[in-house]
Amino acid sequence: MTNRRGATTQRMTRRSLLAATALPLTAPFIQARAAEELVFASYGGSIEQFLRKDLLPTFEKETGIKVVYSAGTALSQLSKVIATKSRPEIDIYWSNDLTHAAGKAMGLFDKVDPAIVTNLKEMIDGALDPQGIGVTTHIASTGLQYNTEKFKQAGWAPPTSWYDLWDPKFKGKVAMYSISVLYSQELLGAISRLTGGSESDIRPGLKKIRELKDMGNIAAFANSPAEMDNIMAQGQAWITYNGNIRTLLMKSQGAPMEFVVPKEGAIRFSLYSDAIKGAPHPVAAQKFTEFFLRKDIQERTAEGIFYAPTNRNAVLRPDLAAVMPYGTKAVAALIKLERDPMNRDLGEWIEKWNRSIES
Amino acid sequence: MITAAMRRCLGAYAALVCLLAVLPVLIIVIESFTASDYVVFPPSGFSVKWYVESLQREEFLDSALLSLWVAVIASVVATALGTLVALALVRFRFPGRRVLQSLFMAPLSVPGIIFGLALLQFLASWGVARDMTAVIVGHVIIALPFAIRFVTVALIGMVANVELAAQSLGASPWVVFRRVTLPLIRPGVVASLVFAFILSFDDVAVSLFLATPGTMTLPVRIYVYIDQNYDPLITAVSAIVVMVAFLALGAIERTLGIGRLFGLR
Amino acid sequence: MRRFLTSRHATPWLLLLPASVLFAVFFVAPFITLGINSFYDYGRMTGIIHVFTWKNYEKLWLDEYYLSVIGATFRLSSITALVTLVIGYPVALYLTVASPRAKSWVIALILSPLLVSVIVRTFGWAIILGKNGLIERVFTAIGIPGTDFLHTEAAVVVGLVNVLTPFVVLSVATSLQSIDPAVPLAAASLGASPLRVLSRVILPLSLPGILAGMLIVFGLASATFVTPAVLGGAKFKVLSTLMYQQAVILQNWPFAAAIAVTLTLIVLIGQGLQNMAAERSRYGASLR
Repeated sequence: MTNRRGATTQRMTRRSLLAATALPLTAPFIQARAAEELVFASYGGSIEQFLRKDLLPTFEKETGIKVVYSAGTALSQLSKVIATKSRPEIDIYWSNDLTHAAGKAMGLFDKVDPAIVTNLKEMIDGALDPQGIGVTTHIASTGLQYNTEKFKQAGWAPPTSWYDLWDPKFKGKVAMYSISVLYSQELLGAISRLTGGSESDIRPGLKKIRELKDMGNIAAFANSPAEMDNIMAQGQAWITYNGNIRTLLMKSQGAPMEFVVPKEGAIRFSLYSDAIKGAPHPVAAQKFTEFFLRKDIQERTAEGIFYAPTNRNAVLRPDLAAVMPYGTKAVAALIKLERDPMNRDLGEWIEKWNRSIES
Repeated sequence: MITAAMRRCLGAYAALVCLLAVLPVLIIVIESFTASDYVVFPPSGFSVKWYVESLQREEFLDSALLSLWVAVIASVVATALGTLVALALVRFRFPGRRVLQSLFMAPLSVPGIIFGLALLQFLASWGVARDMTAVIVGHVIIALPFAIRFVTVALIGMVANVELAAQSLGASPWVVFRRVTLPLIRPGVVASLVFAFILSFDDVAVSLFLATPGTMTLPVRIYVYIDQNYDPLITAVSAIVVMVAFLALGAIERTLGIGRLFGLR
Repeated sequence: MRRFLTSRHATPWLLLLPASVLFAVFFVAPFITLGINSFYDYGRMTGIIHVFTWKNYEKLWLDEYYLSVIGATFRLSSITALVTLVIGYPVALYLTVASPRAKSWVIALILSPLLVSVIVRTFGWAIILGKNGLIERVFTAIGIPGTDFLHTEAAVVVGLVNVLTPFVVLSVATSLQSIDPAVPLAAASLGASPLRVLSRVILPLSLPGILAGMLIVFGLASATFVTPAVLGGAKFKVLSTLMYQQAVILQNWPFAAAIAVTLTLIVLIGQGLQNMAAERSRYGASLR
């Protein structure tokens, strides 16, 4: 009996000790439930910083709704939304148009309520999803990025076309993204289109990109934008394709990088705001969408993190307007890939790319 | 048995291994003192501005403190539970022992990403709200195999007769454990504490999915930040963690002696 | 009293109880769900389809591409386990003879890479091993150009060994520590040379530590995905990289689950092989 009692006391002391230490420690980290709240899920880093410091306090002051920012990567957040489908905890998921297509196909998102989001009519054409599920809040573009310093040293002219990546003089100088990153999925779609295929037929694009590999132009594959920044900053590659905001960010930090809109067109990258179906604060979610689309808020976002507005009434400074797809003409010039077939076939895209390009 | 010459050779070799081990850490520390706004090696200019910046970022400090608590609690719980399991597995023969032995090792081979996702889905389906406890539980599970293994190794090496001797002299089981077994397996227990702590403090995969806005551990905070920005802020934060850890180790060394803690002769 | 050590009934179960409950609820239950998931189908437009299928395993185990990835995973984990052992064992040996201060330094330094977030640390290695990197610059300076070995299997092994060595060192050191110093001394006094003492006495007696350390390294090496992706480059694919793609990029949890189950099987096979090898050796008895 003694041994048994000994073991029990031992466990009990440990447990009560644990409980005693854990409780006060846990307390400050549990979110205090305010009267009205909104859980907003999106990217981390400078985007989070801007929203937390600049936009969200304005929203909180105007509406009295407290915003809880849930930072993550676009896809880890989508995984979270799926995993918590039975009991959603995120109200608004702000991400790119491909994750929007994926979530929409799985029936995760709610419709935009025009009664609350009254500024829908101010948006550019096609901003609202055709089924009314989610709305494009901002636009960015994917084009070419090159290292100005290295190009100058080599005496080369800046690139002008997507096909410049295939220039033999760039042997071992082109950085690619892994197919896990949206930029490569976009490249595959766009090159397929330019070479006679489409989003539903990527064979020509795959063949063309395979040439890039066979001719030895590819220096490295980046698994994330951060790794791409590292590769480009270290001079391990001199040219790549990238989002305009990524190049602008690096440039604003003083890195010798420049963004080029290829003559065939840059690729349209849209940001979507989606309300999660069955989430705890549906009205607050709609209110936030309205706020996000407002002219003044869109102008501030463009200024802060270089995302181009989708509200037609938003007016930008000329220097800002010049570096982003702003205005009807610039937006129309973008290559707009069909996200639905992309989303549908993404598994096969990745599989085929893995076997033929990253192999 | 080990001659002085052998000892010198081993010392030189250990120094070389240490140098190679810290190489990437050194690179990061050097990069963190850059004057530029982007990460490049070798850095351009010298500045501590990124340290100033990182100390002003409350969210990193909050996450670091949270990570610290999570790691402390998780490592203590995992080691305590692991020690009990190891005692049962080594000191007793019972049906199903081998199966249990393998089963407790299983989290070692399940990638954190999938375990985190599975656990998140599981908790969500039962409607369990996640707070710091969820992250701690996840870390205890992944640290348990280490705790069991390290304590097992120590127990195997220990002569069980000592326990019997103490016991025959009238010591109660608790006294036997506290006064005889524990001191003898201390190296294994300390190794388990250290690795459980470090695994927890370094884990991204499991915490990424279990974290809530209020419970983002430092590695998750860094992972999510680096997804968008790779600037010297991250290298400075990493360097601070390493420096603080070394200061802490220095303090432990002064007061207790790390080598002694591991019970190494 | 005697029952503390001799009871074949209650005591071990009491000892196992707290960990088992935690384990059953938070590991076994989710893992069984995962296992069931791996037999489901998945469509991009529909999500998980709850119909039993062998499809995921057929794809994974019968396709030449995936088989080569499984092979690469097994190979990488085995090489990493062996290299960490070869590198770590002498360090563990040194810990038994070093001064307390030297011991503390060695332990602190080999643990330090684990304090840095895996991505940041891996970027550090990319700078050391990459084009225009530290190694290439040093070698070019002494007249050996073209030593950029980033994006090779060797680079992945370097990155993994860097963080996994401490697991072997401390595991082996724990084992060495418990060897009765009289035993090697006795062997030496009977005329055995130091090398013979090492290979015939110390090495076999530290076998439990070696095996535990190698198993941990094998398991951890097979499950990491950042290091192989960044240091191995695009050509180097292991199961964990593909699993990340399936789970996080494609949300194809059934296929990802099948990969996770396969990874677990690989580690179990590795563990089995190790146990077999240990039991065949004449010193295996000490493990049972």
